[in-house]
Amino acid sequence: MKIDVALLQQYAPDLLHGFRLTIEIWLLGSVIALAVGALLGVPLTFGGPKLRAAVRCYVEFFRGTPLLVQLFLLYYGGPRIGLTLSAMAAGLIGLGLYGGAYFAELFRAGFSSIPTGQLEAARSFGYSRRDAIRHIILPQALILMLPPSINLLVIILKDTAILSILTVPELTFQVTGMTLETFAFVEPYMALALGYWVLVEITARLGHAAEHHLARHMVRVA
Amino acid sequence: MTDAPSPPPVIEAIGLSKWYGTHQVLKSVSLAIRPSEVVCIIGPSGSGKSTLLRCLNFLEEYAEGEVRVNGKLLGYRTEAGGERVKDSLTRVNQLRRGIAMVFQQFNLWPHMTVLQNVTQPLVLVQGKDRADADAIGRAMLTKVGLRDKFNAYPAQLSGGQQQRVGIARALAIDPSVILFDEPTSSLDPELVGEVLQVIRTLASEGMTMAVVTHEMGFAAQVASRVVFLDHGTIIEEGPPDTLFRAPRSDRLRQFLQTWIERNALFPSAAQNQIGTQAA
Repeated sequence: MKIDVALLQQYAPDLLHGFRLTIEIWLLGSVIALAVGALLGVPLTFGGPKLRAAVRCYVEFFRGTPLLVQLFLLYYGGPRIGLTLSAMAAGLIGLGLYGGAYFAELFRAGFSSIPTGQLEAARSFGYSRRDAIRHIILPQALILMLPPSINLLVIILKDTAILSILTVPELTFQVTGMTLETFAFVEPYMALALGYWVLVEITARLGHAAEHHLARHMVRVA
Repeated sequence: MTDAPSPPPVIEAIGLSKWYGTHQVLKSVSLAIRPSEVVCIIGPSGSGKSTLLRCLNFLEEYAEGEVRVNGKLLGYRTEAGGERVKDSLTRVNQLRRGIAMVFQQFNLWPHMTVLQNVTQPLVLVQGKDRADADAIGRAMLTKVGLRDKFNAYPAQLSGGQQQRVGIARALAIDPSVILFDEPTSSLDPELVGEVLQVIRTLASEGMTMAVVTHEMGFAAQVASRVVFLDHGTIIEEGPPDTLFRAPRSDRLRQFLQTWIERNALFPSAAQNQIGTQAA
């Protein structure tokens, strides 16, 4: 098999543009997802039954339906309720809400993994709920949550490709355009795969380094 | 001594009742702990000892009766109409300030050093500055014999050392009473002694304490009063000499008998433990 390097060179500016946009969407979407997740993870763990049920509905909806469907509803259905968004805005919000549901569940799992005895000790010493979360739960939960969070960030990265269907000109969109114009498939999709793979590798490595750094004091307690 | 006018209790349970579902774990229990008293609470598993202790600082909510800390009702307040409602956490925490607790499982915070474990409540709850808190923390850890472990993490310590950190953490808040919830029950037998020794020292210094324990020898030696709880009721209470040597109720006699039998392998040790020396 021969790789047409000239073709790749010709489309390099488009591909790089798409690559950069993919990174931007990924980072911004992840920040929104993290914020939504943290915001919902607290009531999902510590809230009263009604609040918990409400958050649970949110999580079940966004985890239970495909991102593509959510994006369509937001982008094409939004105007009906007076919510007109650009493809980019709809994509970012959709990605954030979707990832947020997963992060909320991840935060809940992290928070719940701290042995109740430690929290009882905090309560018995008169800690406010806020101090207990901030000083007892979070420092430990964040370490536990790091590996699954990295995993989730990788999934969100690959899900950014779905935004191409809303015509957001990110990497997958550029590659699709390239195949339509040139009828070449191998080169564009190889470039596409490489683009995502490089980002995933970097993320994974940073994640490992962070894990190692954060856990340096954590000796496992039996 | 019982006839002498006694100072008001530091902490007091009055007619305390509590249910887990339909099972009543505490049946109108009343218990007053006065300054410098060491009250040991003994009884079989499931008798409600730990629940009673945990109600005293409102880690467990009680359904009926009252817990009073220096005379003030803990956990509830009475509305104008006479109705009782749960108090705010802020207020509960204010009253908790004078009550420290030591747990069976130590419940240290594993991500902090030993010193940080002891000083954090001082900084966060009492608003002390770092330097003051550190000075107190060092002094308390030194007191429990851990002056070379300030910067160790809990997981690097033996169970006995971890429990001594737990005691230092309790002492640091300068409590008016310390509640011990089976402080030696999860320790290897050879580590029990070092923890009991620390508690014994505190007793001799006049610290007010309530201790849920299975260590009869220790109770006999250190308690100013022993309370025998069974099925959520105080069956008998009194000075250890009376209680251990001349139990009035069959239930307590039976309970002590099992304990003596368990130690019958080494009769001299059992004899020594009652009255004179522990582990």
